[in-house]
Amino acid sequence: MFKIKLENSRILRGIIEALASIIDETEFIITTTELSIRAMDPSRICLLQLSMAKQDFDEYECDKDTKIGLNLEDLDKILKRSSAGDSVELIFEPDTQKLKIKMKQHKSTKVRTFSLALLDIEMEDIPMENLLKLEYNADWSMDPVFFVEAIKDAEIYSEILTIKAEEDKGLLFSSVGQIGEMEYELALDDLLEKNIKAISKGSYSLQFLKSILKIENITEKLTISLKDDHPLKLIFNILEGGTISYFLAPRVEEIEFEEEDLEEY
Amino acid sequence: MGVKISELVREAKRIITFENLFNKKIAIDAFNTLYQFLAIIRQQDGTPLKDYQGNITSHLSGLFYRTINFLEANIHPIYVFDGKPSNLKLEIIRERKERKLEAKGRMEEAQLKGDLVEARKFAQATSKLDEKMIEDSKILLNYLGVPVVQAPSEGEAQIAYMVNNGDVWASASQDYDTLLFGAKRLLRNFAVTRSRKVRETSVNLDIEWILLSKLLENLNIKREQLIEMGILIGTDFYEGVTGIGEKTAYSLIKKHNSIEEIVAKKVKIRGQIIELDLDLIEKVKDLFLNPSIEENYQSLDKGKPNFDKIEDFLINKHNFSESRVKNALERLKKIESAKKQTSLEQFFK
Repeated sequence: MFKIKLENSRILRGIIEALASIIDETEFIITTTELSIRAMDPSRICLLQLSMAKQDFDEYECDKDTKIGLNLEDLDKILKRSSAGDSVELIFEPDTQKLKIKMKQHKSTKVRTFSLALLDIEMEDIPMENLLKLEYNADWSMDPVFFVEAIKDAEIYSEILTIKAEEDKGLLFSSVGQIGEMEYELALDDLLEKNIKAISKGSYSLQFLKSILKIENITEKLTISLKDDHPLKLIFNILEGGTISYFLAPRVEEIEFEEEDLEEY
Repeated sequence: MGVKISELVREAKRIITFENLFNKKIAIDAFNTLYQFLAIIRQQDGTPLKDYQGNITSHLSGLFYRTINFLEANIHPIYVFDGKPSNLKLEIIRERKERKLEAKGRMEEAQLKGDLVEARKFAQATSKLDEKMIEDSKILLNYLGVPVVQAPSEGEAQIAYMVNNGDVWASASQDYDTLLFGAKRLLRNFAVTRSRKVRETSVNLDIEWILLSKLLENLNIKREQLIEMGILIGTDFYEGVTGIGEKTAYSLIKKHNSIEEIVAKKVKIRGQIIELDLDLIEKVKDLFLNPSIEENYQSLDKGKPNFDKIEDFLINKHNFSESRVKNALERLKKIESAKKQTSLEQFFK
């Protein structure tokens, strides 16, 4: 059994909305100390990991480690029904096989309760040890608003955003398309914390970046790590506590073979 | 055709999408797929698509547009062609030929009467795949840069070997026979978009993913018993026993363990003792368990498409619509030139 509560429904709503744009269904793991999710999108391009500690919640009761499978689209629909200033409570009683979502308005006696059937999900093991061990050549923190702006600029031209970090220059976002190209530059001073050891460059899917950045309005701090043609690592510190980390697989130039030259005509 | 076990398979299947198949190699049963294109891709009155010389081109149309859809979704198709059919299959093929002739007669009758619905229905049963069509299909796949594997005999047996060897992820066929050949994973409704009529409009059927291990676990039988059930129901290599469908076959095998026992105990079905030629049954079983396969097949990596040759082949030789082919090729060029999306999997290692 567990019962967890957040006074501000906006946080949970924002988290679930962002997750639902990448994965359809997932397993929530609730232990006596934290709530966590680890999942990959079906095409295995993006991996996400949410972790919120007991103290990040306003109330947290859990007597036994529990795993529940939920459809995120449905949960998102339910949470979207919450109003500003609502508190939200998630309650699970093992014998019901349903999750209860309770919304209450501060200083009001009105109570809205939704229930959501649990799913039986077969979660595969994600062997991410090597990914976690990866040493990045460039790490920095930045205002996520800049990132969102660069994504919107790039979308005019293509479906790919290229990110380049240089130790003495700063950051360059760029995108090239048939009609032209865009560049979005940030000086080192525009970055909050930075540790850029070498020039690093990678290209990533705008579609995924857009989904990932949906979390921007409940983000306190965004930290990014970049390495040539390696997964982009993004860590969002959520307002009022908790983190969501993402690994996004790069788009790379295909190695061209010289085979064409040998072809007979 | 293939063995009819759709009810028994129901619990062992899951729905899967193109996204789940990202970056995976899928071996497609080429004959099975081409037959479906021939049956489905037709004009209103059931006449297949043809070029100016009167050659049927339905199969090429299906192959071309469907393959581009796969490549666009970053799925890697590999087409596996049947070789010489086993003697056991020849008998069944002869019977099918007779049925096709009959269907052809009835189609022409219906066309004369102007009954389009009837004509189309019988037309679908007349599909014939000849040497030229097979050759043309291979040429087109070659131009597209899609690998082709020639099986010495049964394509499905070859695919099962390739899947279990880890060289491809799954087999794609409408037939369940691949499971009898032992393939770990089977995809249905994949190579050909199947649709179902729902209130005047048609709805595409989901891609089904069937795990052999799950099926055997659910039914609590061994693969050899599944093969014996197939023999009782009827497969491409044995006509089956009249009156035995999948449910009866399952309960018979569960109760008596094997065909040998069923025959020894003189078990009756509809008042008739089941009499079977055990030597022949042994041969059919052996075909499923020890089929002839090619172990040294070519590289299964995708090659580069040859755009000029595709255009010449489809537009000039087979009179495909120039604008449609060029549009499709534009899509293919876009996939070829763009930076390739990688999967996280390669960074797990």
